[in-house]
Amino acid sequence: MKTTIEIPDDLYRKVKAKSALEGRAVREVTIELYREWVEDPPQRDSADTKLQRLEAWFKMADEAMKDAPPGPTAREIIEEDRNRLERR
Amino acid sequence: MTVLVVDASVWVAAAESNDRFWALSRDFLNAATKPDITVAVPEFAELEVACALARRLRNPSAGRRLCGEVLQIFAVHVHSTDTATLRSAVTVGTGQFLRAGDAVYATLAKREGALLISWDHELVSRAGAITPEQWLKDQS
Repeated sequence: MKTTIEIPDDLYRKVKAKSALEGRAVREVTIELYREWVEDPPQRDSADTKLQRLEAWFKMADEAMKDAPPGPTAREIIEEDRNRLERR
Repeated sequence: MTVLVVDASVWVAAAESNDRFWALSRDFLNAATKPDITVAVPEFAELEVACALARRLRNPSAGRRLCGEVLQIFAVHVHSTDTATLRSAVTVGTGQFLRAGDAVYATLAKREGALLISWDHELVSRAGAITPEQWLKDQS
């Protein structure tokens, strides 16, 4: 069936951009989200789950940083970016 | 419910053990997993984090993946930097003599009644931010 809904402009722009990035149609994503919501409502992560996922992210970052070339850290890169105009 | 607006400097410092704020940033993120804490950022922060990590790693997909994953873990509320926000940021930024990007962070924190958390000296000295270290001290 066809239906019409109103969506906030900024939200729809994000949906379109993310769909395009993943090479998927907005219609396809919409149906998927409806199905997930109806069949398996999302649960908020408990603090324990968040901690476990965060620990996994720390390990992922540690692994990724092993391949980082020498140079300023990512925070120092941001610091440099933020001060770049003032220095010149 | 406590709302924290977390600056890009904190997210990226937690990713890298070579960074002098690495351990405190990780301690802060661990503490921010408490259920009564909501984390928010302006859209701009997502861009800063992903790009800084990609530049650091010389790896675009790793930068995007690390950024996307950590924001997802915290179910971070990513706020649109729309025209109304930018107009407010003009007032906040000019009033406090902030850089444009800092004004966006400060505006979001003000609007959400949130604490702004940052390692950026200027955000701390001019925009009312506190460091993760200070926040952790305040919690104990």
